[in-house]
Amino acid sequence: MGQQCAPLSSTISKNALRRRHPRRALLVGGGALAVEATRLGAGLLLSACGDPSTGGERVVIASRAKSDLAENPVVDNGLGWTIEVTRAELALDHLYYVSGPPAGLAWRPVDLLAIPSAHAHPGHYDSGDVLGELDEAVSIDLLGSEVLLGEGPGVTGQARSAIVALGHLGGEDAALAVVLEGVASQGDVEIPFRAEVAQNSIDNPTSHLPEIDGCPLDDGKIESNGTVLLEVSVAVWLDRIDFAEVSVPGSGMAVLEPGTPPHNAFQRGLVKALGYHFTYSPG
Amino acid sequence: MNAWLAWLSVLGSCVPLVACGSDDQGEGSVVVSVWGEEYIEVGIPAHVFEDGWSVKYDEFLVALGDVTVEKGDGTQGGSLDPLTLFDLTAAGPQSVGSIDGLAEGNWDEFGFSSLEADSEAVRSQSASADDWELMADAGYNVYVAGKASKGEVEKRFAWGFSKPVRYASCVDVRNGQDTSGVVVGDGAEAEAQLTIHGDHLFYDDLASPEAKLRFAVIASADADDDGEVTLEELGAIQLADLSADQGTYGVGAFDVDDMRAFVEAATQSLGHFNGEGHCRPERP
Repeated sequence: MGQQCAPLSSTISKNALRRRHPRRALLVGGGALAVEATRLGAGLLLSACGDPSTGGERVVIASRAKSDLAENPVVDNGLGWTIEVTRAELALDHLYYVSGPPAGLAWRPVDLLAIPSAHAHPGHYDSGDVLGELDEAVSIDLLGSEVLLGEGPGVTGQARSAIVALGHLGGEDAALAVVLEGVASQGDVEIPFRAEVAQNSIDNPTSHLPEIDGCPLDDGKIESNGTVLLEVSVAVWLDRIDFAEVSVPGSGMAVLEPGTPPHNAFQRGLVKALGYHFTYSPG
Repeated sequence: MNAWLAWLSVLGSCVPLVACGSDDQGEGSVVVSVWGEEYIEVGIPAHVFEDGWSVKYDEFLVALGDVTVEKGDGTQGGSLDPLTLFDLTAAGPQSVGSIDGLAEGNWDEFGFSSLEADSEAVRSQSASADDWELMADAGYNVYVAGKASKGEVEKRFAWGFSKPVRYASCVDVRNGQDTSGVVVGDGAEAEAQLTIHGDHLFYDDLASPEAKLRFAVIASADADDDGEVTLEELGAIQLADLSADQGTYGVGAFDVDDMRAFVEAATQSLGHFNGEGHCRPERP
Protein backbone atom coordinates (compact mmCIF):
# COMPACT_ATOMS: atom_id res chain seq x y z
CA MET A 1 0.00 0.00 0.00
CA GLY A 2 1.07 3.56 -0.49
CA GLN A 3 2.46 5.75 2.18
CA GLN A 4 0.69 8.79 3.58
CA CYS A 5 0.99 11.85 1.42
CA ALA A 6 3.29 14.66 2.40
CA PRO A 7 3.99 17.91 0.63
CA LEU A 8 6.15 17.18 -2.35
CA SER A 9 8.11 20.37 -2.40
CA SER A 10 11.09 18.78 -4.08
CA THR A 11 9.69 15.84 -5.96
CA ILE A 12 11.10 14.37 -9.08
CA SER A 13 7.90 15.46 -10.74
CA LYS A 14 8.36 19.10 -9.98
CA ASN A 15 11.92 19.02 -11.13
CA ALA A 16 10.94 17.20 -14.25
CA LEU A 17 8.22 19.67 -15.01
CA ARG A 18 10.52 22.58 -14.40
CA ARG A 19 13.25 21.13 -16.54
CA ARG A 20 11.22 20.01 -19.51
CA HIS A 21 8.18 22.21 -19.42
CA PRO A 22 9.08 25.64 -18.14
CA ARG A 23 5.55 26.93 -18.59
CA ARG A 24 4.27 24.22 -16.29
CA ALA A 25 7.00 24.96 -13.80
CA LEU A 26 5.71 28.48 -13.41
CA LEU A 27 2.52 27.04 -12.07
CA VAL A 28 4.25 24.70 -9.72
CA GLY A 29 5.93 27.76 -8.35
CA GLY A 30 2.55 29.30 -7.78
CA GLY A 31 3.00 31.96 -10.36
CA ALA A 32 1.89 33.08 -13.73
CA LEU A 33 -1.64 32.98 -14.94
CA ALA A 34 -0.77 32.94 -18.59
CA VAL A 35 -0.38 29.21 -18.67
CA GLU A 36 -2.72 26.73 -20.21
CA ALA A 37 -5.15 25.20 -17.78
CA THR A 38 -4.75 21.62 -18.87
CA ARG A 39 -1.19 21.53 -17.71
CA LEU A 40 -1.98 23.26 -14.46
CA GLY A 41 -2.86 20.08 -12.73
CA ALA A 42 0.47 18.46 -13.41
CA GLY A 43 2.40 20.26 -10.78
CA LEU A 44 -0.45 21.15 -8.49
CA LEU A 45 -1.70 17.70 -7.72
CA LEU A 46 1.65 16.19 -7.10
CA SER A 47 2.70 19.11 -4.97
CA ALA A 48 -0.57 19.18 -3.06
CA CYS A 49 -1.65 15.61 -3.07
CA GLY A 50 -3.51 15.95 0.19
CA ASP A 51 -6.43 16.97 -1.97
CA PRO A 52 -9.26 14.79 -0.63
CA SER A 53 -10.59 14.13 -4.11
CA THR A 54 -7.53 12.03 -4.83
CA GLY A 55 -7.30 9.98 -1.69
CA GLY A 56 -3.93 11.54 -1.15
CA GLU A 57 -1.74 8.52 -0.65
CA ARG A 58 1.56 8.32 -2.40
CA VAL A 59 2.33 5.19 -4.36
CA VAL A 60 5.00 3.89 -6.68
CA ILE A 61 4.05 3.09 -10.24
CA ALA A 62 6.17 0.89 -12.45
CA SER A 63 5.89 1.48 -16.18
CA ARG A 64 6.30 -1.28 -18.72
CA ALA A 65 5.97 -1.34 -22.50
CA LYS A 66 5.51 -3.67 -25.41
CA SER A 67 4.29 -3.36 -28.98
CA ASP A 68 2.19 -5.29 -31.42
CA LEU A 69 5.34 -6.07 -33.39
CA ALA A 70 6.73 -8.26 -30.66
CA GLU A 71 4.37 -11.07 -31.57
CA ASN A 72 4.16 -10.39 -35.27
CA PRO A 73 6.43 -7.98 -37.16
CA VAL A 74 4.23 -8.17 -40.26
CA VAL A 75 1.45 -5.60 -40.59
CA ASP A 76 -1.29 -5.43 -43.21
CA ASN A 77 -2.26 -1.81 -43.57
CA GLY A 78 -5.54 -0.23 -44.58
CA LEU A 79 -4.39 0.51 -48.12
CA GLY A 80 -3.52 -3.02 -49.09
CA TRP A 81 0.20 -3.05 -48.27
CA THR A 82 1.90 -5.76 -46.26
CA ILE A 83 4.75 -4.37 -44.23
CA GLU A 84 7.44 -6.47 -42.60
CA VAL A 85 9.12 -4.34 -39.99
CA THR A 86 12.82 -5.02 -39.43
CA ARG A 87 13.64 -2.12 -37.10
CA ALA A 88 11.39 -0.04 -34.89
CA GLU A 89 12.57 2.24 -32.11
CA LEU A 90 10.64 4.79 -30.11
CA ALA A 91 12.12 7.35 -27.72
CA LEU A 92 10.10 8.41 -24.69
CA ASP A 93 10.91 11.40 -22.57
CA HIS A 94 8.11 11.16 -20.06
CA LEU A 95 4.79 9.44 -19.44
CA TYR A 96 1.98 11.03 -17.45
CA TYR A 97 -1.02 9.16 -16.09
CA VAL A 98 -3.84 11.64 -15.64
CA SER A 99 -7.43 11.87 -14.43
CA GLY A 100 -9.05 13.31 -17.57
CA PRO A 101 -10.92 10.89 -19.84
CA PRO A 102 -9.47 10.16 -23.30
CA ALA A 103 -10.18 12.55 -26.13
CA GLY A 104 -12.99 10.56 -27.67
CA LEU A 105 -16.51 9.38 -27.08
CA ALA A 106 -16.65 7.68 -23.70
CA TRP A 107 -18.60 4.61 -22.79
CA ARG A 108 -21.21 5.48 -20.20
CA PRO A 109 -19.48 4.94 -16.86
CA VAL A 110 -20.86 2.57 -14.29
CA ASP A 111 -19.86 4.88 -11.49
CA LEU A 112 -20.91 8.43 -12.28
CA LEU A 113 -19.31 9.67 -9.09
CA ALA A 114 -15.95 8.57 -10.43
CA ILE A 115 -16.00 11.17 -13.19
CA PRO A 116 -14.69 14.62 -12.39
CA SER A 117 -17.17 17.44 -12.76
CA ALA A 118 -14.78 19.66 -14.66
CA HIS A 119 -14.52 18.90 -18.35
CA ALA A 120 -13.22 20.65 -21.37
CA HIS A 121 -15.48 21.38 -24.30
CA PRO A 122 -17.28 18.21 -25.33
CA GLY A 123 -14.83 16.01 -27.15
CA HIS A 124 -11.92 18.26 -26.38
CA TYR A 125 -9.27 16.80 -24.20
CA ASP A 126 -8.71 18.00 -20.66
CA SER A 127 -5.91 16.09 -18.98
CA GLY A 128 -7.05 16.93 -15.47
CA ASP A 129 -4.63 16.00 -12.69
CA VAL A 130 -1.45 13.99 -12.91
CA LEU A 131 -1.71 10.84 -10.79
CA GLY A 132 1.50 9.17 -11.84
CA GLU A 133 4.41 9.43 -14.15
CA LEU A 134 7.51 7.94 -15.61
CA ASP A 135 10.29 10.48 -15.53
CA GLU A 136 12.99 8.61 -17.36
CA ALA A 137 14.09 9.10 -20.92
CA VAL A 138 14.10 5.68 -22.49
CA SER A 139 14.24 4.17 -25.94
CA ILE A 140 12.14 1.14 -26.73
CA ASP A 141 12.97 -1.57 -29.24
CA LEU A 142 9.45 -2.22 -30.46
CA LEU A 143 10.41 -5.55 -31.98
CA GLY A 144 11.57 -6.78 -28.60
CA SER A 145 9.59 -8.33 -25.82
CA GLU A 146 7.89 -6.47 -22.98
CA VAL A 147 10.29 -4.32 -20.97
CA LEU A 148 10.35 -2.45 -17.70
CA LEU A 149 10.81 1.25 -18.41
CA GLY A 150 11.23 2.36 -14.82
CA GLU A 151 9.39 3.43 -11.70
CA GLY A 152 7.94 6.76 -10.76
CA PRO A 153 5.86 8.50 -8.12
CA GLY A 154 2.08 8.52 -8.07
CA VAL A 155 -0.92 9.23 -5.90
CA THR A 156 -4.09 7.26 -5.39
CA GLY A 157 -7.04 8.18 -7.58
CA GLN A 158 -8.71 7.35 -10.87
CA ALA A 159 -6.45 7.64 -13.89
CA ARG A 160 -8.30 7.62 -17.22
CA SER A 161 -5.83 8.66 -19.86
CA ALA A 162 -2.15 9.18 -20.47
CA ILE A 163 0.21 11.60 -22.13
CA VAL A 164 3.19 10.33 -24.08
CA ALA A 165 6.04 12.86 -24.28
CA LEU A 166 8.46 11.89 -27.01
CA GLY A 167 12.21 11.95 -26.50
CA HIS A 168 15.36 11.50 -28.52
CA LEU A 169 16.91 8.31 -29.81
CA GLY A 170 20.62 7.87 -29.29
CA GLY A 171 23.69 8.03 -31.49
CA GLU A 172 23.33 9.25 -35.03
CA ASP A 173 19.54 9.23 -34.62
CA ALA A 174 19.64 11.65 -31.71
CA ALA A 175 17.35 14.13 -33.44
CA LEU A 176 14.70 11.50 -33.98
CA ALA A 177 11.84 10.37 -31.78
CA VAL A 178 11.09 7.33 -33.85
CA VAL A 179 12.70 5.35 -36.61
CA LEU A 180 11.22 2.44 -38.46
CA GLU A 181 12.60 0.29 -41.26
CA GLY A 182 11.14 -2.57 -43.21
CA VAL A 183 9.84 -3.82 -46.51
CA ALA A 184 6.43 -2.91 -47.87
CA SER A 185 4.99 -5.26 -50.45
CA GLN A 186 1.92 -5.40 -52.63
CA GLY A 187 1.69 -8.03 -55.34
CA ASP A 188 5.07 -8.21 -57.02
CA VAL A 189 6.18 -4.84 -55.72
CA GLU A 190 8.59 -4.74 -52.80
CA ILE A 191 9.80 -1.46 -51.35
CA PRO A 192 12.49 -1.46 -48.68
CA PHE A 193 11.91 1.73 -46.72
CA ARG A 194 12.93 3.84 -43.78
CA ALA A 195 10.55 6.17 -41.94
CA GLU A 196 11.65 8.57 -39.27
CA VAL A 197 10.18 11.47 -37.37
CA ALA A 198 12.24 14.23 -35.79
CA GLN A 199 11.38 14.89 -32.17
CA ASN A 200 11.09 18.62 -32.77
CA SER A 201 8.61 18.13 -35.60
CA ILE A 202 5.95 16.87 -33.21
CA ASP A 203 3.86 19.80 -32.06
CA ASN A 204 0.87 19.00 -29.91
CA PRO A 205 -1.81 21.51 -30.99
CA THR A 206 -2.72 22.28 -27.40
CA SER A 207 0.50 22.17 -25.41
CA HIS A 208 2.85 22.82 -28.34
CA LEU A 209 5.10 20.19 -26.84
CA PRO A 210 6.32 17.00 -28.55
CA GLU A 211 3.68 14.82 -26.97
CA ILE A 212 0.57 12.77 -27.68
CA ASP A 213 -2.22 13.34 -25.20
CA GLY A 214 -5.60 11.77 -24.52
CA CYS A 215 -4.35 8.19 -24.85
CA PRO A 216 -6.79 5.66 -23.36
CA LEU A 217 -5.89 4.20 -19.97
CA ASP A 218 -7.98 1.28 -18.68
CA ASP A 219 -8.58 -0.02 -15.19
CA GLY A 220 -6.92 3.08 -13.79
CA LYS A 221 -8.21 3.03 -10.23
CA ILE A 222 -4.94 3.51 -8.41
CA GLU A 223 -5.23 2.36 -4.81
CA SER A 224 -1.77 1.01 -4.22
CA ASN A 225 1.59 0.52 -5.83
CA GLY A 226 1.10 -0.91 -9.27
CA THR A 227 2.16 -1.20 -12.87
CA VAL A 228 1.08 0.64 -15.98
CA LEU A 229 1.60 -1.28 -19.20
CA LEU A 230 1.93 0.73 -22.41
CA GLU A 231 1.02 -1.18 -25.55
CA VAL A 232 2.22 0.60 -28.67
CA SER A 233 0.31 -0.21 -31.84
CA VAL A 234 2.72 0.28 -34.72
CA ALA A 235 -0.07 -0.89 -37.02
CA VAL A 236 -1.79 2.45 -36.30
CA TRP A 237 1.32 4.32 -37.48
CA LEU A 238 1.45 2.36 -40.73
CA ASP A 239 -2.21 2.02 -41.53
CA ARG A 240 -2.67 4.94 -43.94
CA ILE A 241 0.67 4.91 -45.77
CA ASP A 242 0.32 4.39 -49.50
CA PHE A 243 3.75 3.15 -50.47
CA ALA A 244 2.86 3.63 -54.13
CA GLU A 245 3.52 7.31 -53.49
CA VAL A 246 7.00 6.72 -52.10
CA SER A 247 9.91 7.72 -54.29
CA VAL A 248 11.94 4.58 -54.79
CA PRO A 249 15.68 4.99 -55.42
CA GLY A 250 17.65 2.79 -57.78
CA SER A 251 19.12 0.92 -54.86
CA GLY A 252 18.89 0.93 -51.11
CA MET A 253 15.98 1.95 -48.96
CA ALA A 254 13.35 4.48 -49.92
CA VAL A 255 13.11 7.19 -47.32
CA LEU A 256 9.72 8.66 -46.50
CA GLU A 257 10.47 12.33 -47.04
CA PRO A 258 8.87 14.86 -44.69
CA GLY A 259 6.12 16.82 -46.40
CA THR A 260 5.15 13.99 -48.71
CA PRO A 261 1.83 12.14 -48.32
CA PRO A 262 3.50 8.89 -47.16
CA HIS A 263 5.41 10.73 -44.43
CA ASN A 264 2.35 12.78 -43.47
CA ALA A 265 0.46 9.52 -43.09
CA PHE A 266 3.20 8.06 -40.94
CA GLN A 267 3.46 11.13 -38.74
CA ARG A 268 -0.32 11.41 -38.34
CA GLY A 269 -0.39 7.76 -37.34
CA LEU A 270 2.39 8.35 -34.85
CA VAL A 271 0.41 11.06 -33.05
CA LYS A 272 -2.88 9.16 -32.95
CA ALA A 273 -3.84 8.60 -29.35
CA LEU A 274 -5.27 5.20 -30.25
CA GLY A 275 -1.75 4.02 -31.00
CA TYR A 276 -0.92 4.05 -27.29
CA HIS A 277 -3.03 1.97 -24.98
CA PHE A 278 -2.33 1.93 -21.26
CA THR A 279 -3.57 -0.46 -18.60
CA TYR A 280 -3.01 -0.17 -14.86
CA SER A 281 -2.82 -3.19 -12.62
CA PRO A 282 -2.14 -3.20 -8.89
CA GLY A 283 0.78 -4.91 -7.30
CA MET B 1 -10.57 22.01 19.77
CA ASN B 2 -13.21 20.28 21.83
CA ALA B 3 -15.70 22.94 20.85
CA TRP B 4 -14.83 22.35 17.22
CA LEU B 5 -15.39 18.62 17.59
CA ALA B 6 -18.72 19.22 19.28
CA TRP B 7 -19.75 21.59 16.51
CA LEU B 8 -18.69 19.14 13.83
CA SER B 9 -20.63 16.41 15.60
CA VAL B 10 -23.79 18.52 15.54
CA LEU B 11 -23.18 19.43 11.92
CA GLY B 12 -22.67 15.81 10.99
CA SER B 13 -25.87 14.73 12.67
CA CYS B 14 -27.78 17.25 10.56
CA VAL B 15 -26.53 15.95 7.24
CA PRO B 16 -28.75 12.88 7.03
CA LEU B 17 -31.84 14.99 7.68
CA VAL B 18 -30.97 17.34 4.87
CA ALA B 19 -30.07 14.54 2.50
CA CYS B 20 -33.29 12.66 3.11
CA GLY B 21 -35.46 15.72 2.77
CA SER B 22 -38.26 16.78 5.05
CA ASP B 23 -41.88 17.83 4.90
CA ASP B 24 -40.80 21.44 4.98
CA GLN B 25 -38.61 21.12 1.90
CA GLY B 26 -39.71 23.28 -1.00
CA GLU B 27 -40.13 22.30 -4.60
CA GLY B 28 -39.33 23.87 -7.90
CA SER B 29 -39.03 23.15 -11.59
CA VAL B 30 -36.46 22.88 -14.32
CA VAL B 31 -37.57 24.55 -17.53
CA VAL B 32 -35.75 23.09 -20.52
CA SER B 33 -35.17 24.88 -23.81
CA VAL B 34 -32.96 24.40 -26.86
CA TRP B 35 -31.14 27.08 -28.81
CA GLY B 36 -28.74 27.14 -31.73
CA GLU B 37 -27.61 30.69 -31.02
CA GLU B 38 -26.75 33.20 -33.72
CA TYR B 39 -24.30 30.90 -35.47
CA ILE B 40 -27.15 28.60 -36.47
CA GLU B 41 -29.94 31.15 -36.76
CA VAL B 42 -28.00 33.87 -38.57
CA GLY B 43 -24.68 32.41 -39.73
CA ILE B 44 -21.04 32.00 -38.86
CA PRO B 45 -19.16 35.08 -40.07
CA ALA B 46 -15.90 35.00 -41.99
CA HIS B 47 -13.90 36.62 -39.23
CA VAL B 48 -14.23 33.62 -36.95
CA PHE B 49 -12.95 31.27 -39.63
CA GLU B 50 -9.22 30.91 -39.95
CA ASP B 51 -9.41 30.76 -43.75
CA GLY B 52 -11.91 33.48 -44.58
CA TRP B 53 -14.92 31.31 -45.35
CA SER B 54 -18.33 31.96 -43.83
CA VAL B 55 -21.27 29.60 -43.33
CA LYS B 56 -25.03 30.10 -43.42
CA TYR B 57 -27.31 27.27 -42.39
CA ASP B 58 -30.63 26.80 -44.18
CA GLU B 59 -31.60 23.86 -42.01
CA PHE B 60 -30.18 22.56 -38.77
CA LEU B 61 -32.30 19.63 -37.67
CA VAL B 62 -31.53 17.84 -34.45
CA ALA B 63 -33.40 15.10 -32.60
CA LEU B 64 -33.15 15.57 -28.84
CA GLY B 65 -34.59 13.66 -25.91
CA ASP B 66 -33.88 11.68 -22.78
CA VAL B 67 -33.41 14.88 -20.79
CA THR B 68 -32.74 13.77 -17.22
CA VAL B 69 -32.32 15.43 -13.86
CA GLU B 70 -30.69 13.31 -11.17
CA LYS B 71 -28.46 13.51 -8.18
CA GLY B 72 -25.00 12.08 -8.15
CA ASP B 73 -26.12 9.49 -5.61
CA GLY B 74 -28.59 8.10 -8.13
CA THR B 75 -31.72 9.83 -6.86
CA GLN B 76 -34.01 10.30 -9.85
CA GLY B 77 -35.55 13.73 -10.26
CA GLY B 78 -37.44 13.54 -13.51
CA SER B 79 -37.07 13.35 -17.24
CA LEU B 80 -38.36 14.49 -20.60
CA ASP B 81 -38.23 11.31 -22.60
CA PRO B 82 -39.77 11.89 -26.03
CA LEU B 83 -37.33 12.28 -28.86
CA THR B 84 -38.25 15.61 -30.38
CA LEU B 85 -37.17 17.07 -33.69
CA PHE B 86 -36.17 20.74 -33.84
CA ASP B 87 -35.01 22.99 -36.65
CA LEU B 88 -32.63 25.33 -34.90
CA THR B 89 -32.58 27.85 -37.73
CA ALA B 90 -35.96 29.00 -36.38
CA ALA B 91 -35.79 31.79 -33.83
CA GLY B 92 -35.04 30.45 -30.39
CA PRO B 93 -34.67 29.50 -27.67
CA GLN B 94 -37.37 26.88 -28.29
CA SER B 95 -39.23 25.14 -25.49
CA VAL B 96 -38.45 21.50 -24.77
CA GLY B 97 -40.55 21.09 -21.65
CA SER B 98 -40.57 21.35 -17.89
CA ILE B 99 -39.61 18.91 -15.16
CA ASP B 100 -41.69 19.80 -12.12
CA GLY B 101 -41.96 18.79 -8.51
CA LEU B 102 -38.25 18.67 -7.86
CA ALA B 103 -37.07 19.07 -4.29
CA GLU B 104 -35.16 22.26 -3.85
CA GLY B 105 -31.41 21.92 -3.91
CA ASN B 106 -28.68 20.97 -6.32
CA TRP B 107 -29.54 18.28 -8.87
CA ASP B 108 -26.02 17.75 -9.97
CA GLU B 109 -26.49 15.27 -12.80
CA PHE B 110 -28.15 16.86 -15.82
CA GLY B 111 -27.93 15.22 -19.21
CA PHE B 112 -29.61 14.88 -22.58
CA SER B 113 -29.25 12.81 -25.72
CA SER B 114 -29.26 13.31 -29.45
CA LEU B 115 -30.64 10.09 -30.86
CA GLU B 116 -31.52 8.69 -34.26
CA ALA B 117 -35.03 9.75 -35.23
CA ASP B 118 -37.66 7.11 -35.94
CA SER B 119 -41.41 6.96 -36.41
CA GLU B 120 -41.92 7.61 -32.70
CA ALA B 121 -40.11 10.92 -32.82
CA VAL B 122 -42.15 14.01 -32.01
CA ARG B 123 -42.08 17.07 -34.24
CA SER B 124 -41.69 20.50 -32.68
CA GLN B 125 -43.30 23.55 -34.23
CA SER B 126 -40.02 24.52 -35.85
CA ALA B 127 -39.71 21.31 -37.83
CA SER B 128 -41.82 20.68 -40.91
CA ALA B 129 -43.50 17.42 -41.87
CA ASP B 130 -40.90 17.04 -44.60
CA ASP B 131 -38.15 17.50 -42.03
CA TRP B 132 -39.69 14.83 -39.87
CA GLU B 133 -39.95 12.42 -42.79
CA LEU B 134 -36.36 13.05 -43.82
CA MET B 135 -35.01 12.42 -40.32
CA ALA B 136 -37.24 9.48 -39.42
CA ASP B 137 -36.83 7.68 -42.74
CA ALA B 138 -33.05 7.94 -42.68
CA GLY B 139 -32.62 7.54 -38.94
CA TYR B 140 -30.64 10.75 -38.61
CA ASN B 141 -29.98 12.45 -35.30
CA VAL B 142 -28.53 15.53 -36.98
CA TYR B 143 -29.10 16.99 -40.43
CA VAL B 144 -27.55 20.21 -41.65
CA ALA B 145 -27.93 22.02 -44.95
CA GLY B 146 -26.53 25.35 -45.98
CA LYS B 147 -23.82 27.07 -47.89
CA ALA B 148 -20.32 28.33 -47.30
CA SER B 149 -18.97 31.39 -49.06
CA LYS B 150 -15.64 33.01 -49.71
CA GLY B 151 -15.54 35.86 -52.20
CA GLU B 152 -17.37 34.72 -55.29
CA VAL B 153 -17.07 31.04 -54.42
CA GLU B 154 -19.98 29.19 -52.85
CA LYS B 155 -20.19 25.59 -51.71
CA ARG B 156 -23.46 23.99 -50.65
CA PHE B 157 -23.77 21.09 -48.29
CA ALA B 158 -26.63 18.84 -47.10
CA TRP B 159 -25.39 16.25 -44.66
CA GLY B 160 -27.33 13.76 -42.56
CA PHE B 161 -25.71 12.04 -39.62
CA SER B 162 -26.59 8.96 -37.61
CA LYS B 163 -24.17 9.45 -34.73
CA PRO B 164 -26.18 9.26 -31.51
CA VAL B 165 -24.59 10.75 -28.44
CA ARG B 166 -25.43 11.28 -24.80
CA TYR B 167 -24.34 14.56 -23.23
CA ALA B 168 -23.91 13.65 -19.58
CA SER B 169 -22.96 15.42 -16.36
CA CYS B 170 -23.52 18.88 -17.75
CA VAL B 171 -21.78 21.75 -16.01
CA ASP B 172 -23.09 25.32 -15.98
CA VAL B 173 -20.24 27.80 -16.29
CA ARG B 174 -22.20 31.02 -16.14
CA ASN B 175 -21.21 33.73 -13.67
CA GLY B 176 -17.62 32.61 -13.69
CA GLN B 177 -18.10 29.46 -11.67
CA ASP B 178 -18.78 25.82 -12.42
CA THR B 179 -22.05 24.35 -11.17
CA SER B 180 -22.81 20.71 -11.83
CA GLY B 181 -26.38 20.27 -13.07
CA VAL B 182 -29.12 22.60 -11.94
CA VAL B 183 -29.97 24.31 -8.66
CA VAL B 184 -33.69 24.23 -7.90
CA GLY B 185 -35.15 26.87 -5.63
CA ASP B 186 -38.43 26.71 -3.74
CA GLY B 187 -41.21 27.81 -6.09
CA ALA B 188 -38.64 28.78 -8.72
CA GLU B 189 -37.96 27.74 -12.28
CA ALA B 190 -34.35 26.81 -12.95
CA GLU B 191 -33.17 27.29 -16.50
CA ALA B 192 -31.64 24.42 -18.45
CA GLN B 193 -30.81 25.31 -22.03
CA LEU B 194 -29.56 22.66 -24.42
CA THR B 195 -27.27 24.89 -26.41
CA ILE B 196 -26.17 23.57 -29.78
CA HIS B 197 -22.92 24.97 -31.14
CA GLY B 198 -23.17 24.99 -34.92
CA ASP B 199 -19.56 26.08 -35.38
CA HIS B 200 -18.15 22.82 -34.02
CA LEU B 201 -18.77 21.04 -37.32
CA PHE B 202 -15.96 23.10 -38.78
CA TYR B 203 -13.35 22.79 -36.05
CA ASP B 204 -10.01 21.51 -37.34
CA ASP B 205 -9.28 19.34 -34.31
CA LEU B 206 -11.39 16.82 -32.43
CA ALA B 207 -9.24 16.95 -29.32
CA SER B 208 -7.53 20.29 -28.95
CA PRO B 209 -9.27 23.13 -27.12
CA GLU B 210 -7.35 25.41 -29.47
CA ALA B 211 -9.09 24.09 -32.56
CA LYS B 212 -9.68 26.62 -35.33
CA LEU B 213 -12.67 27.01 -37.64
CA ARG B 214 -11.80 26.09 -41.21
CA PHE B 215 -13.74 25.31 -44.37
CA ALA B 216 -11.06 25.26 -47.08
CA VAL B 217 -10.39 21.53 -46.79
CA ILE B 218 -14.10 20.81 -46.95
CA ALA B 219 -14.48 23.07 -49.98
CA SER B 220 -11.61 21.28 -51.70
CA ALA B 221 -13.51 18.02 -51.40
CA ASP B 222 -15.92 19.08 -54.16
CA ALA B 223 -14.32 16.72 -56.63
CA ASP B 224 -16.90 17.14 -59.40
CA ASP B 225 -16.91 20.91 -58.87
CA ASP B 226 -20.68 21.05 -58.97
CA GLY B 227 -20.83 23.46 -56.07
CA GLU B 228 -22.03 20.89 -53.55
CA VAL B 229 -19.79 19.01 -51.13
CA THR B 230 -21.26 15.61 -50.37
CA LEU B 231 -20.37 13.30 -47.52
CA GLU B 232 -19.06 10.84 -50.09
CA GLU B 233 -16.70 13.49 -51.42
CA LEU B 234 -15.57 14.29 -47.88
CA GLY B 235 -14.84 10.59 -47.39
CA ALA B 236 -12.36 10.73 -50.26
CA ILE B 237 -10.20 13.27 -48.42
CA GLN B 238 -7.68 11.37 -46.34
CA LEU B 239 -6.36 13.25 -43.32
CA ALA B 240 -2.97 11.78 -44.14
CA ASP B 241 -2.96 13.83 -47.34
CA LEU B 242 -3.42 17.13 -45.52
CA SER B 243 -0.44 19.35 -44.91
CA ALA B 244 0.11 21.11 -41.62
CA ASP B 245 -0.86 24.51 -42.99
CA GLN B 246 -4.31 23.17 -43.89
CA GLY B 247 -5.12 22.66 -40.21
CA THR B 248 -4.15 20.26 -37.49
CA TYR B 249 -7.07 17.88 -38.04
CA GLY B 250 -6.04 16.03 -34.92
CA VAL B 251 -8.28 13.14 -33.96
CA GLY B 252 -7.43 12.47 -30.32
CA ALA B 253 -8.66 9.01 -29.44
CA PHE B 254 -11.24 8.91 -32.22
CA ASP B 255 -10.64 6.28 -34.89
CA VAL B 256 -10.87 8.72 -37.76
CA ASP B 257 -8.89 8.76 -41.02
CA ASP B 258 -10.90 10.82 -43.49
CA MET B 259 -12.86 14.06 -43.56
CA ARG B 260 -16.26 12.41 -43.58
CA ALA B 261 -15.46 10.52 -40.41
CA PHE B 262 -13.93 13.68 -38.99
CA VAL B 263 -17.09 15.75 -39.50
CA GLU B 264 -19.24 12.87 -38.24
CA ALA B 265 -17.17 12.74 -35.06
CA ALA B 266 -17.49 16.51 -34.72
CA THR B 267 -21.28 16.19 -34.55
CA GLN B 268 -20.82 14.49 -31.20
CA SER B 269 -19.48 17.67 -29.66
CA LEU B 270 -22.35 19.96 -30.67
CA GLY B 271 -24.26 19.78 -27.38
CA HIS B 272 -23.63 22.27 -24.60
CA PHE B 273 -25.42 23.52 -21.53
CA ASN B 274 -26.67 27.00 -20.77
CA GLY B 275 -24.50 28.65 -23.38
CA GLU B 276 -20.86 27.75 -22.94
CA GLY B 277 -21.42 25.07 -20.29
CA HIS B 278 -20.08 21.65 -21.11
CA CYS B 279 -21.16 18.05 -20.84
CA ARG B 280 -19.36 14.74 -21.18
CA PRO B 281 -20.13 13.05 -24.52
CA GLU B 282 -20.86 9.34 -24.17
CA ARG B 283 -22.19 6.50 -26.22
CA PRO B 284 -25.92 6.45 -25.41
